[in-house]
Amino acid sequence: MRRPRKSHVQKTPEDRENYYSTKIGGVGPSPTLDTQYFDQDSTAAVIPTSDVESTATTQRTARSSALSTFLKEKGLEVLVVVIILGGLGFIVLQLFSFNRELGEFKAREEQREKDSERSQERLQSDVNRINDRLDRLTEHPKK
Amino acid sequence: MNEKQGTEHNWFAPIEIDQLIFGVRYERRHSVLDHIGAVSDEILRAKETPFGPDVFPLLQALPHEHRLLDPDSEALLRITASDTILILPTHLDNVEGLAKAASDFDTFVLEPLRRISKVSGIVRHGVVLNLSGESANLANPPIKRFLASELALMTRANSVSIRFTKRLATDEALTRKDVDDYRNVIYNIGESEEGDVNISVDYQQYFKPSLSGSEWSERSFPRFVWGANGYFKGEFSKWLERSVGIAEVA
Repeated sequence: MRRPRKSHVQKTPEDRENYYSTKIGGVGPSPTLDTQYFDQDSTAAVIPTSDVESTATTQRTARSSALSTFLKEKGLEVLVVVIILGGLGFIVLQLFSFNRELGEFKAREEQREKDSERSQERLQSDVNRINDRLDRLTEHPKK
Repeated sequence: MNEKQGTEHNWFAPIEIDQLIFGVRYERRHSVLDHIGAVSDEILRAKETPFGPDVFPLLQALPHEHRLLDPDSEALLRITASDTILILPTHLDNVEGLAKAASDFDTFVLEPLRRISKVSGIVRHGVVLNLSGESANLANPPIKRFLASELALMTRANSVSIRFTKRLATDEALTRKDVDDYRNVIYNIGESEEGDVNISVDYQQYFKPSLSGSEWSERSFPRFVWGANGYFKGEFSKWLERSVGIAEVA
């Protein structure tokens, strides 16, 4: 439902000029006696009634909501912005995801290298120990 | 409202406000007629109502409206499917009592209408001041003031009746797109053969588009009358002083 009184859309200078010339200056068409409302009648006068009367209303009572007015006027721009922002968001998300996977891969590689170095050190120390024992056996053979 | 109010500010002396009219017009609501009995009961019997049987001793139920009335004082409340109008006799020489009267009208008449009949779609608010006095007491009574040039060409006029209107913008309509509210002021000036002077000023605000229930709460009748007071104390008062010679006493 439109709500002009809740809308933040301002009157343009042309709108204001039109308002002055039609509503305030009274240049615009006046309602005929067939309409329900007498623009210039007294506060003390009531609208005449009869036994048979029209059920139609002469004024729209629905007012625009700020959201529907905004969407009507800027809908296309909003759609384009949403699509662009959505696309950018997707790309950024993908980049983050890729960056995270890259980081995990690097961490795994570093861990493998460390394990490999440790294994080599252990192997080397075992070889050194064996060589030491062989040297001792060679210098002092058992009788 | 029948008592003479404080005369600290004798805005309109030597004429006085002898009748006050409040009016609200709305989109035709047939449900008003369905609940009109309940609304009338509420207006007459609510706690501390200023519009009880002492003010309106009679009720007239017509096919298209209810009337609460006092034939002696000429107090009248009319409720139809499109209008609610309150006419009160007064003896005021300033507008200081208007705010209280508007508040009573809103609380004890419009509120039951809103609550029971679900009235919305407000098209117009209006307030009328009817002033009366004697031409002998005025510096410039209407015949002399408005027919001076004609009187040079003919014998003295015995009576005169003049009506003119003016329209004013509203702040909301000047700023918001698709809102075309405006104010309408109707002046009636008359002098009878007996020298009775009657001046009325009918200050109205039209709402285009009409007000929903929540919008009506934000643009209440007492708030409208507060704005009208500013007009009466300003432009109308100055016009009265210039036109018919009412002296404004500060």
